[in-house]
Amino acid sequence: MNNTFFHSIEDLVADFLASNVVDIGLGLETRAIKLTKWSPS
Amino acid sequence: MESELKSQKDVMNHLIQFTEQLNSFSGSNQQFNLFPASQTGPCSSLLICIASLGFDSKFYPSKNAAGFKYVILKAINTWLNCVGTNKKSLIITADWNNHKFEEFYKPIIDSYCLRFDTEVQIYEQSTRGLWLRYPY
Repeated sequence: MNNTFFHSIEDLVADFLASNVVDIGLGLETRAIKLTKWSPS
Repeated sequence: MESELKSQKDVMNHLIQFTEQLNSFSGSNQQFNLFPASQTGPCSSLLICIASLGFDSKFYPSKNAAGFKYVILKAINTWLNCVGTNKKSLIITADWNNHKFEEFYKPIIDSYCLRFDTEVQIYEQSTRGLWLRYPY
């Protein structure tokens, strides 16, 4: 249960969206989503 | 990798800002449903929910943020309204209460996944990293 699979939520969400491009045939533009990593100032 | 999120406040602010970032994507092309969202749209096969506050926190419109309890109830509402369309849901939360989850919410999610052949993943973002909380 307590295993870290992703280093950031940006990676997690990008993987979630990208994996579904193949699974359910979403438009390829989904792959182009860029998630800029935020860091606390 | 050392976490850049040093405190629970950092985690919550991170998720609030990330929600705003996702809102710009979901609003422009509606390829996934999002909560909290700045606008509503038609059912999508994908649902992303962000719980930025404490587990039982209410929804704060000024922050566009809520806790897991509020977010999962919104997710369940979406599942009921989008039966047959929603296939995968990703929920990210800043706070976790395993006792409450197992007593109140896990049975609902288990039934939804089994009955409607859908997938739900829940991750907790903490100062120590990302942790898979469901399924397990």
